[in-house]
This record gives sequence, structure tokens and C-alpha cells, in this order.
Amino acid sequence: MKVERQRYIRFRIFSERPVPADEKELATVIWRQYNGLFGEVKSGKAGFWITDYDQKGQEGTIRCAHVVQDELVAALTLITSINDIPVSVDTLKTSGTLAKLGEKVDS
Amino acid sequence: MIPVLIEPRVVPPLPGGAKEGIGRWIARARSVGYDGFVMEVPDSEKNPGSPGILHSTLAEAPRFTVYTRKTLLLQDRGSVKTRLAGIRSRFRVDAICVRSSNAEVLNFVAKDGRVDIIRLETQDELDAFNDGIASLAGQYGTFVELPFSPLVRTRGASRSKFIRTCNKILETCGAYHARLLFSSDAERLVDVKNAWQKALVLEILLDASKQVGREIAIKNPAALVERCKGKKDELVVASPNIAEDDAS
Repeated sequence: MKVERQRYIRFRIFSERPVPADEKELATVIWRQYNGLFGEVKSGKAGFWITDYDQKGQEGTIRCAHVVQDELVAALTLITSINDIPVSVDTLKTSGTLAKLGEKVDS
Repeated sequence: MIPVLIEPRVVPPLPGGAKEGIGRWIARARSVGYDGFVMEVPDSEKNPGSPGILHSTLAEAPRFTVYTRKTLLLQDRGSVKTRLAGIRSRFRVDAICVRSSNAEVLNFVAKDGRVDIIRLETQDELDAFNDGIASLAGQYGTFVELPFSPLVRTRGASRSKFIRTCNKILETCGAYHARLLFSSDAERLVDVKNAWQKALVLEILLDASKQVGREIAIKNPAALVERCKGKKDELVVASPNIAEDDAS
């Protein structure tokens, strides 16, 4: 079986008030947005996973299948609120490996 | 070459052009990679004073440019010439935008050099847009602007309907080489979206090619400010000639 290539997307949630959402709640919001846009069939293939999320800094990393990277970024862009707090999800970097992502974010 | 990233329309609610408020908007725009934005001047036509104040306040922001724009709502063909007379110097703004649901008005302004942008916001305005207007806009370099916010804020059927309308306009503008803009119309800081993310949304939702998505979100806003800069220079160059004529 061919191994699916992965992409890591570093993101930051911008909001005027702190967003009281943990990793799980955030994943639900992202999944709902993606599902609403692309449907259940595509959602099933997306296989995204929040690998880390810092609730205080509102920054995190999502891992997804490389074929859905652009769709996932589009879905993140269209998220307007989390727990009724208006937000904007800004993507900072994307990379094929976590190590490279770290390098890119630091630079 | 790294492109200059410009957001074509933001509407910050800044009472009297408060410095702190503008600072926050600039910081937000910078954080998502913008080098400048075009701010809507909300003043009524009778009070065109505050763009000057805004310009002086904004001069303090280094390496970031804030342009101003004024949108006119024109409904009948008869008043177009009067409303547009001396418009740029009257409002001291960088870009002039016109909204209308009257195809005749849109036809006229598409070839009028004073107008930089035709904005299609309501369903009536979107319906009024046709091939002829697109052709003139393409010929005279007038930009056609659509709001990005319905793609973000609406859901389900209304979003699908808007996507369908956008697709038609995208196709028409593409056929006549009319340059399209998608503005965030941000009224809150969270509405300011990264230009690259915008390009990707256009690519995915409107089924635009990578090239078209980038043109709309990145290249065209930069071209708009280039066009407006040129017009401002013309205005400055024109003034001494008028003075000489008066003296003689």
C-alpha cells in the first residue's frame, strides 16, 4: 500500500478576546467547516489531526493528507467564530515535515 | 520578485480617524503580510475634510501605506456627470469607486477615466453587470470589485448562489480581460484576511486557476494602487499649468 504523504500547517487564531477552546473543540470547529464545504466523503479522506495547540498563544499545527492541504487552508480561512467569539484563522507556514516547519516558523 | 500585498477595501470604524484605532488596523494587516490597504472614506459628500487628517495621521506608519477610496452610489444616468465632476480633488482620495444597479450608468463609468472601480455588491448590481460593461472595463482598465465577505459569512444555499454569480462574473471578466478585485470589506480586525489565503479560497470555491486566484487577490490590488498613484501625479502636474493660465 502506498504511504500517504502528509503536510503540516502552522496556524494562529486571531481574536480580540481570548478563545476558550481546547484542541478537541478546535478540531470539531475545523471538521464542521471542512465538512460543510466539501462534504462527508472528502472529510473522510482528509485525515487531519491537530498535532499541537497552545491555547494561551492560540497557535498550533495541523497534520493533513497532502492532497487536501489547499482545501484545508480554505476551510480554515472561512472559520469566522469559535465558541461565539469572532476569530480569524491565519495560516503561517506549511511544510512536509515537522522539523522543516519549525525551521520556517523560527526564521 | 516579491509582490506588494494590498487589501483593496477596509472600512474601519474610526471616530475622527483616531490614531490608536488606525495603529491596530495597521498592526493586524501587517501580521497577515500586507504592505498597505485601501480605506473607505465614510464621510458624506458635503464634508470631504477628514481624508486630509487621515493622511497626516497615517504618515507616521513606516513601510506601510494606507490609501483612501470613496464609493459613490449613482442611480440615474442624468446625475453622473455632476457627481463625478472634480471628484478626486474634491474628496482628496486615491481611488474612486462607483456602485449602481443601472446598466446604463455602469456602461458610462466603465469608460470614464475618473472612476477606478465598479463595485458590485447587491444582487441588483450583480444582475446589472453585463458583457458590454466588462468589455469597456477591460478596454479602459477599470477594475470590477466583488465583496469577499459573502463567501466567508454566508452558509449553505446563499453561499452557493453567490458562488454561482461570482463564477459568471469571473468568466465574463476573464473573456474581456477586465481586472477583478475581491475586497474583504473588513469592518472588524478579524475580517482582515491574508491575501494568499484569499487566493486559495477563490481557487477552491470559485474553481479559478492558481494564476487567476493570485491575480485577483495579489496582482490586481497592487495594480489598482499603481493606477491611482499615476492619477495623483497627474493632478499635481496639472495644477501649475492652471495657475499659469490664470496669471496670463
